[in-house]
Parts: sequence; structure tokens; C-alpha cells
Amino acid sequence: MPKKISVPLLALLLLMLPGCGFKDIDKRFFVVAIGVDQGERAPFKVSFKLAIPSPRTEPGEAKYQVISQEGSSIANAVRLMKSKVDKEFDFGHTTVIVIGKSFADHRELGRSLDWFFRRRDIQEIAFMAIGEPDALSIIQTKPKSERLAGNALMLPFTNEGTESPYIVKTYLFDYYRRWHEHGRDAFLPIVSSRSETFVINRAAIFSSNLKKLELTAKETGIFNQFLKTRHRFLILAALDGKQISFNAKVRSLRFKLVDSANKPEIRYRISINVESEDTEAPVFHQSWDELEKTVEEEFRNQALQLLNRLRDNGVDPLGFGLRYRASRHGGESDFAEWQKIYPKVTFKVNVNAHFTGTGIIE
Amino acid sequence: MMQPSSDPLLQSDDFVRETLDNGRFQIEIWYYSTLCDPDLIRKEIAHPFLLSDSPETFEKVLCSALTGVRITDTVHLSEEMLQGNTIIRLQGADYKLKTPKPGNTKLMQASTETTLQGPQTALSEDADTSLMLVRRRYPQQDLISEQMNLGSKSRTKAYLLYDKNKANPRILEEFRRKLKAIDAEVVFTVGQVEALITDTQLRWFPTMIVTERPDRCVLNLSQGKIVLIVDGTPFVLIAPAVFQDFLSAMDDIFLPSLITKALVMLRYIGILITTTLPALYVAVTSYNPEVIRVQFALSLAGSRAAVPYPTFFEVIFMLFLIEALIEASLRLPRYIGSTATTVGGLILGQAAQQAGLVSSVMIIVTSAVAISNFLIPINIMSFAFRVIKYPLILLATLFGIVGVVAGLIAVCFYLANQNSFGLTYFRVFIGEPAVSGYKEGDTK
Repeated sequence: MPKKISVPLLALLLLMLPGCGFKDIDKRFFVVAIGVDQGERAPFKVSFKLAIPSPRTEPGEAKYQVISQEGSSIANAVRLMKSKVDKEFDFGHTTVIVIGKSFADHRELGRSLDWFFRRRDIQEIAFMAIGEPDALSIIQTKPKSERLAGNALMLPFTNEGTESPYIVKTYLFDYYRRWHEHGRDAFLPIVSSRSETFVINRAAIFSSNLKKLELTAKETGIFNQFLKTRHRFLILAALDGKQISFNAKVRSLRFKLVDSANKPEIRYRISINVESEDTEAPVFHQSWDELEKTVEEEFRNQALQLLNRLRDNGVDPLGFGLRYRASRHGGESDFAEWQKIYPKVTFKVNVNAHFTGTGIIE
Repeated sequence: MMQPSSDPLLQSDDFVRETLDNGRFQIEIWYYSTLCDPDLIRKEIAHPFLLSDSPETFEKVLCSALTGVRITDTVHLSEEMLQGNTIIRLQGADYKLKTPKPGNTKLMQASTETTLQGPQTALSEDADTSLMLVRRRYPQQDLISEQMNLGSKSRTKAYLLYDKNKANPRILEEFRRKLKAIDAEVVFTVGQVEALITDTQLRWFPTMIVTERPDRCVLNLSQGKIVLIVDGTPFVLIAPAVFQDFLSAMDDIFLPSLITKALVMLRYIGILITTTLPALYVAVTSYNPEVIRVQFALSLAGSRAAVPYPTFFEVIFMLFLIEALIEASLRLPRYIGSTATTVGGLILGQAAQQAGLVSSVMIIVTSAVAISNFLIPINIMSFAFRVIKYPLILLATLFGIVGVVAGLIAVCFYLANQNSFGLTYFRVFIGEPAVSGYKEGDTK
């Protein structure tokens, strides 16, 4: 073909390639949160929180619409939902996936949530959480401070907003990874709604897609330190019958796996910086060594309690099994070996606290 | 030799043909009264003529005068006169004397390429004055100026300037050859010369610098580049040039080095904004809203809610208005120029948004595009960048962000394919010698 014709023809063909990807932003409905519950008539009840954009945004004025649909699968429910709205769903900003408590308690999560894992737009940005009492009520909660729909639920997870030691977070892809990894179990934060606000201070631990254990708020705080999130946290200790609160920050935290034939051990070495935050008696003239010892003792007890509880329930979210597999040469059989060893493991925790100050009072 | 009726010389009213008689002998002088300086003619011709007692004495006076020459070739007499010469006929022999009226030698403030604390005057429209300005700043005997006339009809005077020891002889030869090969009747300006000596007809990015600053001329001469001064325009042409040259202002030499680096970076960022922002706006709002934060995505959607037309219409509409505004303020007479900006500013600022034609974010995009375009110091380069954004918008409309990225890559390929007199164009420095002792551009 002569060049004169072929070049414009090629360009024309290229122009036909884009298809129907073009859709203006105001013709899209941003799904900011998705809830998954047990359906009454069908296995799934999917709820979308759809943000309604407005040119002016005020605190507490977040506009949104919540729609729900039951279906035999998530994909099916989503298809049915499309006929309930006027604009095209856009999952590019779906940051939170809430799973209802009863769903999480009774169903395995992995296969059920397959639809999410396969979406290219959701899989790398979404956080997963368990909703109490159910996902729909979490999605419908409307905090007073919320400027844009979904922000109040999203900000605690993205580190842009509050940084609480009680909030653990799990990305969707991280959940998938932990599900497929032998020797490192998944965990999810539990969000419960109180009429106008959320409480996110507990965590649930999963093993092979089934919920195995629920941690209390206090345990979740310690658990978060073991995940090395490096958020400041609080240690309450008593010295001579007087209560002292210490503001603590983990400086370093590492463990060693000692695998002697009949006495397997996991030895933790933790160093933390502490500062007294409020006290019932002046501490400045106390022996700081003594204060450090008290904190070390208290933190060690809490840590041991948590680690033992994890072991006794047969869950391993901190990746001891993965470390074991990584440092052995047996291939697939290593994991079977580890499953036999793990229940017999004893934990040793060595805490080294460094007292940096008593605070400033002017 | 002159037939009274048919000779075009005699049909011009400003052609003067006089016969002088001092009582002893006669001479005839011919000149264009508009091209020649009567004072000079009086002083150099009429006065000595009055005092001469024989034609021989007068001939001696003529030939000893500064530029008096006897001409044997009588065919080009009219051409000599058009160059500002006076022809003296003495006893059948012709002599010419340079008596040009001084041109517009007034020095003007640099207006298109200003600096804050650098030299403030621009080159002159008179080629000789411009040459004087350059020579004063670069008093070297190695600075060679070759005079030539460009254009078969206009015979525009031009000087090719270069430092004999520093200029690349190959480039110099090529430049000379191309200038000689210029095939045009009239030549007015250096931009036209650039077009005439560039091989391809489809020119987009400038490969030679056009500047009005004498200090830029001198800097480039000392870096071994070649300067072409053309009579009748205060601008000169500098070649060869690389991409970075168009993004360096003369301020870069005298400002503290960190400030210079920051400013150069600012200009590159400006280029990126002015070329990609409208395309990215289309791509983000219509294809990939997931790349921006959810908070911004929602307010963008909110601000676009009142706009019924698709984004590319909005973008094209606003860009057309801003381009029209820029073009109009260039063309309008200075006295009514402010009207255009006021009216245009009002339309672009508020009314278009309130009318629901464009979103408020689009107004920010438009002004960011327009403003950052003016960061580019050399004017032609900023024009070149004004053009790029339209193909990019087309690509964004069709393919989203992928299209924008592909388009930018294509622009880079195109730039990398350019050359300036055989030298790679798309690079930061040619490797010029450090002559100003300061500018990062001229350290090896």
C-alpha cells in the first residue's frame, strides 16, 4: 500500500481503539466503601456507600447514598445494583471493605471475597475490616466531623488521620498474601459503630480464612507494637502503689528462633523509650533505674500474655512459621514440622526500657 | 548613459542629479536624497570642489577622502547609489563616495527578553550599531565580521560574526554556504533567515536562538558560536544551539548558583505543566480518576457537575480563549491592549464558570498553563511549547493517561531526532568552554 494512504489509515484505526473508556468524572459514582453481609434469602448481601460530590464541602455535610443488594455471589449482586443507580460505579477509590461480623464468624473469607481480589482497581488500595454488629450499619454511620463521604472510615487506616496504637490495618492484598503464605496468618481490625462514631480498637486473627481468635483492646495495643507500626503507646505500671502512665515508643524489636530438639524457644529482644505521662506522685527524684525496671516488667508480662495466647490458639500472625521455613532446607515438609513444634514453643521476652524524661512542667 | 524617459532612476522623485560648476570645471553628482546625508555631500564633495582649481586636484581630494573610490564597472551604478553612495562624474570618469544617512541608531530598552539586573539595552535595528555594541563588549581582533547582502531584491545588509579561534570551521562553512544559498527576494528578519536556512519545511522547535540581547551574543561568541546580525531588526540569530540554551536566561550568569539551579528547575517544571496539564485534566477526569485523592476526586466531580459538555470540549474552549487573548494582546495597539486583557480576564475568571461552561478547576488549569508558558526565556521556544499541548489533549481524549505518556515519549523522540548544524540538539550542554566563570551551562 502506498505510504500516503497507509499512515492516515493507521491513525484512523488507532482512533477506533479506545472504545468506551471515556466517562466524565461527574458521570461516575464513587464507591467509597463496600459492606459484605450474610443475606437473608441469598448467600451475600452487598452494600455500597456511594459518595455524592458537591462543589462545597462542610464538616458533617458529607452526602452519600447507601444501596444494598442480595445475590448469589458478589459479582451477581453488583450487576443487579447497577440498575439501581443513574451513574457508572467507579471502584477506583474503594478504600474500605467491611465484612459483617456474622459473615466473618461463620464463613470462610478467601473464596467468598474472590471478586475483590480480582478487581485491578480495588486490590491494591482497599483495607479490610470486620464490622460490628454488621457491615451495613458501619457503612451507614455518619460521623459529625465527616467532610466527604467515607473519609471518617478511611482516614484511620491510611495514616493520614489519627494514629492510634489500637488500630491495626490490613490491605486487601496483604490479606490475600497472608492467606496463601504458610506460617503467617492474617488479622483484621474490628470496627464497631456507636450511633455517630466508630470504635476501632480490636483485632481478629484468622487462620486458613477462618476466624480463630479475637483480641481485646489492650491486647490489640501490644499486638500492634509487635507488628512494628511504631505508634506511641501507653504502659500503665504501679510503683509503690502509685500508678504511673508511661508514653512508650518501640526503638527496636526483634526475635530469634532457637530450635533445640525438645525445647524450642522464641526469644524477643525489645528496646523501648519511655517517658512518664501522668503520675500520682512525683517521679523526677526517684531512681530512674527503678522506673525503667517497673516498665520493663510490666511490658514483658503483657507481651508474654499475648504471645502465649496466640500460641495456645494455634495462630501465628507474627510470622514465626515463616521465619522457621526461611531458615530451614526441608522444603514443603518444614511447615508440617513447624506445626508440630509451635504448640511447644516457649517465649522469652527481654525488654530494655530507656527512660528519657519526666515531661516538662512550667 | 541615462535615457531621460525610460530610466527608472529618473522616475523617482528622490533621485537627485546635479551639475556643479565652480567656474573652472564641472562635475555631475547623482544620489538618492533620502539615502544620503546632504551635510556629508556638502562637506566632502561640494566644499573641496569649490576650492579645487583643476580637475586633477579635485580627483586627488576625492580619492584621498575616506571612502572615495574610482569605479570602472558602470553597470552597477544604480546599485551603488541604492547602498547610500553618491556617484561623482568627473571628466568622463565615475567615482563613488559613501555618504549614507545615519539609520535608526537609537538604542532601545530590551523588551522581549528582559533581565532584572543585567544589561538593559537591546541591540539596535541598525546593523552597524549592533556590531558596535558587540565589538565594544568583545574587543578582540579574532572577532571576525563578514558582511553579506541577503535577498535578491532587498539586498539586506547582514554581518556574520564569529571568533576565529573558537568557532567550529565546519559549522562556519556550512552556515556560510546556507546563507549564500538563500533564495528569496526580500529578507527582513532573522527568524526568516532561520526558516530559509533550515532544510526541512516542517519546523517546530527552534534550533537556533533568536535574541535581542548584546550580552547573550557576546557570551555565545565566546563559546564559539556564530552570530548573524541582520540590518533592520534588533534581533540576531545564534547557532548552533541546544535545548538547554532556550531555557537559560541571562540572569543565570549573575545570580547565586543555587538560585540559578532552582530557577532552571522551575522553568523545566513550567514546561511540564504547560504541556501536560490540560491533557492530564482530560485524562484524570474522564479516564483515570483513581490517580488523584478521593477528596479531590469528589470536589472535582462536584465542580464539574454543572458542566454538561465532556471535558475535552471544556478544555478546548478555555484554551482557545486564552490563546486568543494572548494573540490579541500581541496584535492590538498598545492603547487599547488593556481592553482585551480586562474583558478576557473577566470571561476567563468567573463568568465562564458561572455560566456552567467550564468547571472552576479548569480555570486554575488554564491560568497555570498560560502563566507557566511565559517562564521560558526565549520566545520562540515558548511558542513551540504552546503547540504541543493540543496533540496531547487529543491523545488524552482517546487513550487517557496512557495516551499522554505515549505522547510525551513521542515528543522526546522527536526532540532527540533534531540536530542543530550536525550537533545533537536534545541535550543540556554542548560542552562549551567556561567563559563566564559562573554559569553552570558553560562548565565542562
